[in-house]
Amino acid sequence: MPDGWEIAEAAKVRGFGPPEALDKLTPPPGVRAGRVAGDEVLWVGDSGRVGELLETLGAELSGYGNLATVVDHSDGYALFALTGPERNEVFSRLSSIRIPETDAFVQGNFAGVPARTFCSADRLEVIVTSDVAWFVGGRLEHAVHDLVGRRAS
Amino acid sequence: MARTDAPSESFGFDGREIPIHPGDTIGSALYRAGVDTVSRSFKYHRRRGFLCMSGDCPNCLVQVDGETGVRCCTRPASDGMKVEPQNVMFSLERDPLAMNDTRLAHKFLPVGFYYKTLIKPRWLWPKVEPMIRKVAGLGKVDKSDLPRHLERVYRHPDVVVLGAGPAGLAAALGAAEEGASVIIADEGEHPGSRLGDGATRDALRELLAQVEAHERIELLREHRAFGLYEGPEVPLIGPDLLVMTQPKAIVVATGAFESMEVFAGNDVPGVMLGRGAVRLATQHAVKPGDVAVILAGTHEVPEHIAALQAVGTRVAAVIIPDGAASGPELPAGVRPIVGEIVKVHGSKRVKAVSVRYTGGTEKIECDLLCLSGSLTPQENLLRQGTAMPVHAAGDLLAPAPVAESIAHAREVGGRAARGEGAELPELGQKARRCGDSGYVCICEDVSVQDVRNAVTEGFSSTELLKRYTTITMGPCQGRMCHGQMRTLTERLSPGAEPRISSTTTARPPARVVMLDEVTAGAYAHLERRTGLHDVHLGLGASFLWAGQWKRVDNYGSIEREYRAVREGVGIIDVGTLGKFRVSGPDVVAFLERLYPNHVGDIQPGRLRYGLLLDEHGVIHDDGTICRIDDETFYLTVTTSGAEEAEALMIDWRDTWGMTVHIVNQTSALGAINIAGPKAREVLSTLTEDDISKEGFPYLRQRTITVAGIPCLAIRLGFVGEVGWELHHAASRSEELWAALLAAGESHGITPFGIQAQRLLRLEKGHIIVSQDTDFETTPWRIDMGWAVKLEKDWFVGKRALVRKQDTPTEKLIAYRGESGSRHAPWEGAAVKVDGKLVGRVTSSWFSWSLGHPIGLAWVKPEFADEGQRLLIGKDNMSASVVKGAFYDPEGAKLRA
Repeated sequence: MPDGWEIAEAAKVRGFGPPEALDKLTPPPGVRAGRVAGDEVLWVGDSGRVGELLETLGAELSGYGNLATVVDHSDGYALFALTGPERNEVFSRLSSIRIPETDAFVQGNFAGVPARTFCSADRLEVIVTSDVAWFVGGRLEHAVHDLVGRRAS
Repeated sequence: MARTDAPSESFGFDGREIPIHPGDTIGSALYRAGVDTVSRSFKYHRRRGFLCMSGDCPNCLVQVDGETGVRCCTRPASDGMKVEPQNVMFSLERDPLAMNDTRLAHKFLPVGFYYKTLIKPRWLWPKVEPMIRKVAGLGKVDKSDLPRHLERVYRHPDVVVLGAGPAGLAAALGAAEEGASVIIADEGEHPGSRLGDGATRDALRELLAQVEAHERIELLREHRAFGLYEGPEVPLIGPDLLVMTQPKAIVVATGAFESMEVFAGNDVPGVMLGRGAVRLATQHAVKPGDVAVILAGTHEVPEHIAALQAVGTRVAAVIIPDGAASGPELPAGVRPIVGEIVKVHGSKRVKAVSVRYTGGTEKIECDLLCLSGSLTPQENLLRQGTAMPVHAAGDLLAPAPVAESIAHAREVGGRAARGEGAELPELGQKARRCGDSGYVCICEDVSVQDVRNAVTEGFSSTELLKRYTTITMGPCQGRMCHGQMRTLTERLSPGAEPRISSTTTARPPARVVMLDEVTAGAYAHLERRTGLHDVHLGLGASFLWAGQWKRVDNYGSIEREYRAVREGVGIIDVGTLGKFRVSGPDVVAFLERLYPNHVGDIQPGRLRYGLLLDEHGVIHDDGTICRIDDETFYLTVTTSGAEEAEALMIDWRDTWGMTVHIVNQTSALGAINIAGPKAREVLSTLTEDDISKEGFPYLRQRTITVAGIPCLAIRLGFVGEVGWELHHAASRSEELWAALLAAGESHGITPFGIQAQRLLRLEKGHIIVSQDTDFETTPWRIDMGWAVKLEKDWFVGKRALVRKQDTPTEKLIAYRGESGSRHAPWEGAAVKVDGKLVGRVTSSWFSWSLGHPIGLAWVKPEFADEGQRLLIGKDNMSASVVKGAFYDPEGAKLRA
């Protein structure tokens, strides 16, 4: 296989609040943070850290009372981790998004479904709703298979 | 000049075996074998020979191994191919439909044929249409040939260059030298392969080597661009991959081709574009003809003469059109004639050319007429790029000697990379000449006389002419005829406004594109699944589509599933419902505006049914409104409605400027409905919470723990029995499902699917939004005024509902069929009264509990009263309108 991908277990926590509150957030070490909308952030960490993320994000937003909400969405999202030297090529088979050269959080369609993607130097993490995870996995499988075929020929 | 190496490979064509020489295209092999006619024309079945030899004209379209519309002049030949002519009935040489090409037949095939022929009597067209369809078209599609599942890939280079001729290669280098990443695409396997030998080819080899060595340039061979799209986006179709490029700038360097000329007999085989004849001679060592006449005008004419003479073709004369600035320098022995071509003699093949000049007309014997009169820019793509960062280079911009062209193209590439403005040629130029007879459009057999007739009929502008005559709309997409059409239009409408003869709009595709190529990477059908999908599969479920979701249709017996719910207990996966957590300081005001009923008075722990309306008062969706606490609500909407409901809510929230957090939890939460007379008994074995009638009454909700799983339990009655929807973390769906089945085993608990649920809810008279409603359905029309509170100050759709309150409209009624009939009409069946159509059925079932068919139907208001007699469906089933629910109308069972 020219590239690796897997469905990775992860904690996914969504936070809602006033934009100025979200601007000030600092995620804990090892946690990827994406600004989904003016009033929404997404924090992603290792699967065992759901409680910690809920607590940390909740504490950071606690000063805003009922203007803020924190929700565990780990069951609602599936995370596909693309690794290896050809991760960008595999990603480009399924998305028109230009992969940034620096660490970034981007949003847009992947395999025809809305997706959120954390891009880093050695890894792409694509997040889609869990009801289409099997579909996205199938498209990834097909894309990798096609790529392998091309490399072989 | 013949090659001495004997070919060992061949392909079949029209009953012959055609030998293949190394490097042959199908076209070159056919021509070498003496085949002048390869196909027939679309309408008159005139003979079609080779014209451009570059894939630009429509003349050499053939069918290759079932693939239609193949330009055989550029398709490489291979052993064992089956090549068939197109637009031919029975025989290429003896085509009976060639009788269409007579003066008499032309009268029956006038311009605008489809608009004025076979209109009356009305019965005629349906009879004739199948016959026309049988003989028309471009080849016969092999219906057994399944589409390929091609993949696509996205690329984001700084610059895309289209065409890897000398100018394109130079432009790519110019852009790359500015630091830009470049993709350059060419249709050929070997860029420049269509060039003859000479300085241009030498320059190309040098440039190609530089391009291939450049780290920032990617050369895509055999990739054709079929359009420029906004973005910009340039799709490049490769042999088995669609490359979608999204560059910052585009350089089009697609070159130019010699213009088609219009005169009598201009489409006879043996009339060939000059470069086409040269390609045959220099690339394939095929003699294009014994004696040639050349129409001169381009700077390449001396090269063409030399190339033809090199393979043994005698050049009898070079025609220099009147008005040409100066004639080319001709070798000794070639006769120049200043004049114009008026006619080509011959039908199967050119026999002679008549030339008119000052002082007379002369007939010159020849078998080849080369058209090198002028160059037409290959601009179909460029014309699609208006308002895009598109540059032109090379012959497309202005034909020039190769060194000059290369130098300029480098500058163009640099400008594209730097994001500077573009220099573009005049687009859609008029042709220099257009004769008084002959064919303007050789794709569609549109003659000068046809255009004249169309203009006389009032279709005088190019845009109207295009649509009325189909000129420019054939396989060449106007390459051969656009300029001539403009020139002719201008001549036929002297003094008219310039727009009459303006250039027409160019649209994709600029090149042939197969449907499976367009859909590359987009063939998969998105399918949403709940966390219980595999469990359902294990239970032998069959599925149906519900929007993008796959839901269980049934598990083998709808009746068994139905009876389980009515008599015992059943469970159904309702995880597909749209589920939202909505909270914030403005949430009550927000929901009061969103729903037409009251929301603020719902107490925590309770719920209410709610309709979602649009501004027209039309029902958009429906579901439940659960109040969790003062500032937190949990909403459900129908399966497949989640995304639209989310967008609707966010749109209204932002419009109203309210502080409300809308969290779509559809995928995060699973939901299982347990329902039936024994539901409480089963559920009570799995929970220590109080779910008694008094402790957990109808229309209440709260979090309970079921089999150790926290669930928001919602006491509802969609199917008309005691029941709870258990909303839970999606990752625990399988666990909960298994626990419910195990707990209910002794009670005969049965999973049920959508079909059983549809009958169960129909017996209660509950609607399904989008099945029983349409784009005009207000609450008034379905007797759901109880869900609308007009006393509220404002809600979405209120003004429309007030206006429509007293408007008599169709009504959704419930009907019961006659006892004894076990056949339920089809959904959509006609509803009649006294033989007249008065409505249609939306839901229809045979009720096993009631013993007769029941259903819902739209009927005109005068037929909506209780007791109205109806006849339904093709069997005219007798039925009568009923009010209220069919089953448990008092609701005693679901409140139990």
